[in-house]
This record gives sequence, structure tokens and C-alpha cells, in this order.
Amino acid sequence: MSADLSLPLEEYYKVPNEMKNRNFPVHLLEKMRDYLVKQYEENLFEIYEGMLMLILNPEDKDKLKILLKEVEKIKEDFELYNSILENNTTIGEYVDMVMNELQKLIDGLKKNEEEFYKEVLNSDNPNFLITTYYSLYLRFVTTVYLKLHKTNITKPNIKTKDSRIKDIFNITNFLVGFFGTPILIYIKKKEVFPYISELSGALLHALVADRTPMPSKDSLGYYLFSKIHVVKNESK
Amino acid sequence: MSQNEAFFLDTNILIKWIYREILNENPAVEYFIDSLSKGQCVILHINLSEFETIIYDAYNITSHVIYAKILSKQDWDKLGVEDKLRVLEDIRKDFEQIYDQILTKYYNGQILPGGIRQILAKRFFIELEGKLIDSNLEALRNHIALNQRTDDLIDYISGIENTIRKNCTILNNINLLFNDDIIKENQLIYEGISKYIRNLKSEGYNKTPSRNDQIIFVYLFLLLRGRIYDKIVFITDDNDFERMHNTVLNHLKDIINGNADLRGDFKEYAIEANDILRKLVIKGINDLIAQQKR
Repeated sequence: MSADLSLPLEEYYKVPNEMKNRNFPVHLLEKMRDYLVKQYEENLFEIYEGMLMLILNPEDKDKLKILLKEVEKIKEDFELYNSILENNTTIGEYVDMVMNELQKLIDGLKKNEEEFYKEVLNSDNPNFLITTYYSLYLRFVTTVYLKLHKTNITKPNIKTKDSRIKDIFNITNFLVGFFGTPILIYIKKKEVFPYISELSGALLHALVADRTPMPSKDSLGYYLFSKIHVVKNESK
Repeated sequence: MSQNEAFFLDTNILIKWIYREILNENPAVEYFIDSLSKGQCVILHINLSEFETIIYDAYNITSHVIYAKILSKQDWDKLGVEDKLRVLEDIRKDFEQIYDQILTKYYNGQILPGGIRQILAKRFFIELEGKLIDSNLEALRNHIALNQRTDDLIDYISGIENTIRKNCTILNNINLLFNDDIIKENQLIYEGISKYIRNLKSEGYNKTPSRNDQIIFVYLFLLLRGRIYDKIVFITDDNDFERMHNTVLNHLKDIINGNADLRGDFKEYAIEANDILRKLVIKGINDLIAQQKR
């Protein structure tokens, strides 16, 4: 699988430089996968809620606080570096950093998108679940990026740990990382994450909920919808 | 009926409603949903996600079938319309077998076999036949194998969500505030659910409530507890929820009576949770329809 693609993802997960790419420690990935499966089974509630909130209503501060408390337990293993970071940066720097990481991730995913589909589908094990997941994930990260881009930082010079806005960037880091893992697992191990359908259903719902429907006329989805559902309603 | 009484639809009811004609379901399901006001007919986002997961699985297999049987053959563009039709007809005739083969070979353990997914996948294929004949290979490849597929899927699903939204309220963003009392009551409910699952297993049942079902149950509890609704009727097609509900209530009763909590530490939480859960009613869709006719 394209080495190009795993770089932006690994970058996002802060894999130390010397481990990058060829030397990527697969055993860590295995641990990560087991961990993820377990977390998914136990914390579905927080994950769904968090994702919907991030896309639909990122400004909801009360909800954010509660969610963050809940995901804190899950987050610990993912982001040990966070507290050091928050103590040593201003919120302005911190936001720039997160946005910068998101940009790199989006650009990397976008650049490798077609290549990824072709490689998966031309492999011995073509799998449409993982290619659709990839494009849903790319749309999810892009949507989140666009939403966060509008965040107004009034006091960029205060310490990150004292800032109220840090929560939203914090939860972004967690969710973008969480939802990205199935792709990294596939790239490194050629394994499809066991709950990929369910995660995709959740992503789909969040993306659809955020969207004003305006399908293009050559959309097969819209075509299918009108053939299966619209005629039926009119004949009622 | 008080203002805050609502009917919540389980995923299986959503399927029966939206795909009524394809599944040849009783139109009474649709009439029943039509008879509810928008505020009375409620769907949790978890149920909607679950419903969309089924569509997602089906659409992906339809794409895989088209990919394997049409796109991988370079000569599709060169075929005349009659030959194209013949290819499509062959696929349609054997669709179930092709579907099963692809599922077993490439999606073992990832997509549940048979049932609604297969029926939907076949219907998607049949409806797309005209487009398959019309489009050139490159356009098809973009839609079926490359990034337009996700747009198609999102367009299709947003069409469906719009239909749903005309009749029902989708609960997307619920502010359920957590505090210590809620966590303690929740604990008791999870215990009740675990007990239910243990009982099922000891009786030899393989089918136990899914994680989603457990979460839906807790959601309903929290919505009642937060007084967002005064009474909830949860409409479903099987008795999984009813049994889960009864076992949880029995567990709470055991705690209240001191049988399951000798020191009584949790008694007051059990009383509270029990009062709340009594406002939850689980109803089979057929019972509701029969009731309406009377």
C-alpha cells in the first residue's frame, strides 16, 4: 500500500520519526486495534454523541465538558503528550498546531484517495467497505476542519490549559484519531476493522445530518431514491 | 394524550416502513406512522445509524457485484444494447448466488448474511440497470468504484432522511447531563441488562441484545429521567426489548426488596430508576395496529 498515505496518518498519531513507515511497529498497531475494539464496544455512547456534536454543534460548551470527562478515560492512552502540550503552549499556538495537522491529514488523504481505491480493488481481496469508509472519513475530517476554521479565538496568548476553547480541539484530536485507525490498520495489516459497517453508519448519519440536500443531477443516489421512494409516495 | 408522550421507532420498524413495498409489508405500518404527529413519532440517532448501516452494507455489495461482473470486463463499452441486457439479466437471475459468493469470499464476518441486505442489494441493482446500459465504462467506474460512490450513497440516504423527517422527529443532539445520581442509577440498569444477558445465555439462547440495543435502552431511560418525555412507547418488531425491560425491572425490585443489595446502599436509586422505567412501554407493532383497528 502506498507509503505516501501512511505518512500523513502516522504523522497524525505522532509516531516518532525513527519508527515511521517501513519500521512501523506492527505490534503496537495490534495493541491499538484490540484497544479500539474494546473501547468501541464499551464506549459507543460517548463516541456517537461526540461525533454528532462535533459536526452539528461544536459550540455546545456544556455538552463538551461532559463528553470530555467521559472520553477522558479512553483518551489517556491515545494522548499522553497532551498535558505537556497544554502546559507549554498558548491556545493560539495549540489551535494552529491542530489545524495544521488536520490540513496535512486532509491533503494527504485527498492526494492518495484514488490510488487507495485502485490498490484495494485491484488487490486479491477487493473490499468496498474500506474504500467507502476512506471517503467517508475524508469527508468527516474535512467537515470538522471547516467547522473549526470558523472558531473565534479571542485571547490567543493565554496558556492552552487555561483556555476554554481547548476542549473542542481536544475532542477533535481524539475523534479524528479514533476514526482514522481503521484506515491505518488496513494500510499496515490489510485487515478490515470488525465494526467498520457500524462506524460507517455513524459517519454517514452525521454527514447527512449536516447537509442541505442538493444532489447533482447525475447522482446515482438521487436516481435510486426517486425510483424506489418517490414514485411510491406519489401513487399513494 | 399528554404533550410529552412519544412513540419511538426501533430499527426494524424503520425498515418495515421505508421499504414496505419491497418487503411486501402490511401497509398498516405506514398508516400507523402517518397517524402520528411529527412530535409524537421519534427516532433516536442510534436507530437511524443502524438503519443506514444496513443500506450501506447493501449498497457496497451491489457495487461489488457490478464491479466484479461488469467493470472488470473491459468489453462492456463495446457490447450492443441487447448483449448488455443479456449480461444484466444473467446477473439478475443469479443475483442471490452471486451475492452470497461475494459475501463469503470477501466480507466474511464483516457483513451479516442474507435477509434484508440481500433484498435491498438486489433492488438497487435492478433499479440501476438502465444507468448501467446508458453510461460509459469510465463514468460507471467513477460511480461504482471511485469517489462518486460515497456522494451517491449520501444523496440516497439524505433523500430517505428527508422522507423520515416529514413524519418524524430525529433526536440528534440530546443534552443528557450526567451527575453522580444518574451514574448510580445507570449502573443498576446495566446490572439488570447483564443479568438479562446471563439468563439468556444460561437458557441456551445465542441471540443476546446488541450493544446498540443496550445503549438505546439507556437512552430511553435518560430521556425519561431528564423529563424530556413523560412517557415513551418504544415500537419494535421482536420481544428483545420487552424481555430486557422486564429483567431490568425485576433486578430493581430485588434491590428495593433488599434481596440483591443487603445493605440497602442503592435502594433509593433503585426506587427512582424503577419509577422512571415504569413510564417506558414496549409495544409490538402488530399489537398497536390491532389496537388501532378496534
